[in-house]
Amino acid sequence: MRAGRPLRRRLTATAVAVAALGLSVAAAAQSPGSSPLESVAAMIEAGRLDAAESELRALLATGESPAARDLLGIVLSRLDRPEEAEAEFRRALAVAPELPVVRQHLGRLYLAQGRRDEAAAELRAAARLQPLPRDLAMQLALLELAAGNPAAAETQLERVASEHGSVRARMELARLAAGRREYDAALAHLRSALELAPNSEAVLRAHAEVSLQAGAPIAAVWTLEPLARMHPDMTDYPYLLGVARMRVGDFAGAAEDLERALALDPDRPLTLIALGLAYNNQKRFTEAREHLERSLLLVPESVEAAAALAQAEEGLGELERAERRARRALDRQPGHPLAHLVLGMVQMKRGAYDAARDELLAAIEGDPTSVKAHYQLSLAYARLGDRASSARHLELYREALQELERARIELNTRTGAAGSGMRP
Amino acid sequence: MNPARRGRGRAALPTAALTLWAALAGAPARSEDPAAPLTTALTAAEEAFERKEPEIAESQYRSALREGWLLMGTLLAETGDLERAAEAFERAAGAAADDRRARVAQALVALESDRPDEAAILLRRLAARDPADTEVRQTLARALAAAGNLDEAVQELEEVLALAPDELETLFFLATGYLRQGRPEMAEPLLTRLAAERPQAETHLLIGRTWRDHAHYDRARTALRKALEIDPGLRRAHYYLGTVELLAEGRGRVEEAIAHFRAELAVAPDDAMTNLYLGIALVESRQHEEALGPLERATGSPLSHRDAHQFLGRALLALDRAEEAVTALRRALELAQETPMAAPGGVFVDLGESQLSSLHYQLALALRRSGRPEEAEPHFARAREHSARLAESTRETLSRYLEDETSQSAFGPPLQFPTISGLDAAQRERLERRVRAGLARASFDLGVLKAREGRFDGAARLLADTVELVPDFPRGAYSLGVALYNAGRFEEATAPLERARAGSPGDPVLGRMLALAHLNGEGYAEAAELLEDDPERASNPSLQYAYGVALVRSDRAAEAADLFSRLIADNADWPELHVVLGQAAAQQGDYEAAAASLRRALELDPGVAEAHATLGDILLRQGRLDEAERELEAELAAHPGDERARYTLALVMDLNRKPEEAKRLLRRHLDARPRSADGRYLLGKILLGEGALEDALEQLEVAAELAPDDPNVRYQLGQALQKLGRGEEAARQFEAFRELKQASRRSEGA
Repeated sequence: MRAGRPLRRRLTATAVAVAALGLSVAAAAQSPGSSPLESVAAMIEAGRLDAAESELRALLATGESPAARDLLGIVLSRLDRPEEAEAEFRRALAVAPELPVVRQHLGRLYLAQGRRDEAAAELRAAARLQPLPRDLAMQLALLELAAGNPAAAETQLERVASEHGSVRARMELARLAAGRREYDAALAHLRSALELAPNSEAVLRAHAEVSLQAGAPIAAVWTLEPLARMHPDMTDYPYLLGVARMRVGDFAGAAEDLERALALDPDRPLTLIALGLAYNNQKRFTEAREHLERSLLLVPESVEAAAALAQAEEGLGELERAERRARRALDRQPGHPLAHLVLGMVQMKRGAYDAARDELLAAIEGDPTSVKAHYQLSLAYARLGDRASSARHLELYREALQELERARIELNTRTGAAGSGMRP
Repeated sequence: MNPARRGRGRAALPTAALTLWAALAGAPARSEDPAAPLTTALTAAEEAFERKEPEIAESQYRSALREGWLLMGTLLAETGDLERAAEAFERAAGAAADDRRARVAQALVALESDRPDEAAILLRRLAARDPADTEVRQTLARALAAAGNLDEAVQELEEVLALAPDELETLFFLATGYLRQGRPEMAEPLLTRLAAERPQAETHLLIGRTWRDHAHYDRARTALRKALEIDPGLRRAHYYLGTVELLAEGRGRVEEAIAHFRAELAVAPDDAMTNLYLGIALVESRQHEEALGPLERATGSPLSHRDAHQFLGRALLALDRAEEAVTALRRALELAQETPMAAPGGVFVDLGESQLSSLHYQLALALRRSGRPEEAEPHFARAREHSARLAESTRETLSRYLEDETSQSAFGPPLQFPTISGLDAAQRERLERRVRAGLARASFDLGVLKAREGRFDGAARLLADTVELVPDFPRGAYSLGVALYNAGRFEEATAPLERARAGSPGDPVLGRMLALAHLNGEGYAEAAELLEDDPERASNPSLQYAYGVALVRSDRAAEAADLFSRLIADNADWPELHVVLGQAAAQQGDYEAAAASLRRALELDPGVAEAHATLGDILLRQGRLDEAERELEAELAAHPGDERARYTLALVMDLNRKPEEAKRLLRRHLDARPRSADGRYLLGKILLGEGALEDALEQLEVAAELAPDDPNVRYQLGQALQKLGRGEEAARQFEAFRELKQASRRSEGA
């Protein structure tokens, strides 16, 4: 999940900033036996830090009080005297090691100083005593992740997600699940994030990306369609929408989306290649060639672009050129299914059915759901007199076609595309 | 527009607004604040922001935008500005993930604007997404019927009813559809079921009216009598029965109609339409004295006052009370000329020509009878103008009213939904101001959020909305300028930055940003002027450099020389500085010094911007085309976005007889800079040379528009027009060419 990394960085930065400012005076003042400290707490809130320090020191001179030490620690950290603050928190903990707020305050101090390991240790201890507040729980989760403890991180994140209705926590949980290839779990987290933030670009995008990773293009279209509508300046969304549509065989719809993406960024090789493939599948070979040639000017090493261009050339009847290009693509990336398919088609046109069969079998090995490869292979076997194999691949072709058709109907239903034309 | 609908064009507005608001399912109930969803979402967004949940904050801001634009669209639709309402709904659709309500609202606007096909496309998409959305599918049926696809509309309703057999509203609409298809036998069981499931008097009233509207008068009578049987005091039952008698039987049943209207008035003595129809029917049956009372009562309502005055005038005229008739008819004429009139059901209808002529004719008669023939004459003349010398018969008028009324039930009765129509003008204005302010706030906050993510184009779009909604929004123009600047849209950034600067004239940061926007947008003279007085310039080498660049590029190279000498003394290894020095030298014709500076810049940094391009430019001027080509290609390889270099390379290619390469470069250049007059001119010239006359003309016309004072463009445009056989236009261009040339020589001489 690409969105996850920068998100995490932002989270960390935000939490450090919060930690620097967020030492809770009220919580400290309300610690057991601290009610006489309320006037000091009010002084701190009013920014009268020097006076508060004097008052606290006077109080502590009359007898030990962990709550007073905690408050003094807060005052000192606000006065930018972190070493002294740390010492006061430590002394408070020495007297009352079970006071969770002191550990939280110490954890915040460490976070503000960038002492991540020590912060993690204090926050873990604090979390054992009582649930952490939302921001610290998120911080601890991120610290656990950085320390390579994803299970501990998830515990914190689950709690923040369920108790605080946090979308951030759900996004992190989804990222972790997607990283383990547990796409159903990731999508479940993202769906609950979408319930809370249905219009968030980050959440919609994460849902689309995980759906595509999970091989669920229809679910991806469901979130990419609103993304493309809400963010018309972004190239990614119509591009991904086009890619998702292609995966369910909606090449005309894909071409429209990809043309939109290309209008936003005319020099994006990925868009040019995808558009070339969409055109190829609509037998618009001349347009496909034009776009694919342009893509090769930008990324001459792209095997995908070369194979797609070979397909366009084959479609235009330029068999020699198509064959040369497809073979070069295979030199660079052996087993490339589209390159094998192109060679199979070329051999079919030449009547070299043995060679065609071999290429088409290789194409199917790389892409077992290729409708075209199964169809051509059934023809090749028929020409070679192998009726059983021909029938088998014809059946596989029909199955693949039906699967595409089913997906296309589902896509149309979910996006409303079926309603765009007149009734059949 | 369909002439049959023309009269209803304006009328549709109140209905449209009702229905539009209906589309906003989930909108607040009538008693609630219409802007509540907007303000609630804004508050939720701000809370989420404080809780460090930016995803929720963004989502809520977007909800606020959707709710705000929906409300704005509804307000606009209510004032009849359907075009701007449609724009507002489009913005609502682009604001949030769920666009259902915005699309339904757009469809309703399309329906009200007589574009039912467009409405049907929008609604079909929604219906395909959720086939169980009965509201959408019912509206789709309306759209289909309005587009003339009655059979499809009925089929749609049949499907909806099959999905939700207990939806009595659908059942009723379907029955109406069958009746419109002329299939009463299909409608009857549905209406019978409706009556059985809702056996109230009101149901029979509705059924009776529906039968009446489709000219099944016996069935209408039966249903309406049934309604009265259940509730003898039911409003409108006698009224409909009266209209049934008039529509069904013609003149012979007028007395029965009168009896029903009287019975209706016993229940509702002040009902304007019943009083009007009773009055008209009494005039029709020549009971003029009796007609006066109901007609006078009908003059009190805007629904009926125009026609009530007219028929009152006629009754008075028949009773030889000519003076009073003049007063009543004059008032009727005034009202007819003021505004269209609300017809039954609240639908405005324009007064027809024949009725207007009739009104003039009757007034003329009344004036003559009251001894004022000279005053009567102009009214006779107006009546004659309209070829309506005889008054339209009362009977015809009455029938027309009733037809207007029956045409209301296009596909079921008007939907009764909460509206915001109850507001007076001041309340409406206050609401609109609140909506604007809320939208501006949401757009601004969301724009700032996007800018922080580095998404400057998206931010600029939102911030442009902010200043459009509230031009003086705090920091609005400034933020828009900054977003545009960061998006690399320098020329666009200058206008909002200028506005912001006008608000804080002493702000040096703002002035500096504006200067840099001008500089990057090739507004060198403006940049130089702004930087000249910048207090920080003397101590800031970057600003000095920018100032120097601005001077060089605004043809003030000599002034820049000193400045650069000082700068170079302190910054000898600054490659960009050597480039600008080279450019300054080239500008003054010292190509040798220029090349030396540029080569030095490239030694310091082989990737430094504009060094190769400037060398290319110098080599071009020296006619060393192959070398120029190489330098410019090197520039573009390192900086593919340098459109100036691309254009110059195209020029070199053209001079070097490589038109295909030149065209390819120019097309790409024009994709990036569609307003490049030089690019259009050169492409047009090349195309003209190849004989692609129409294509050349297209480019040269745009070039002439962009650079109207360029004589070369005029000349080439003249050539293209001449070759296309458009001699006169060509001559005009050649004349413009000569004039511009002469002017240029004069200014050179001066």
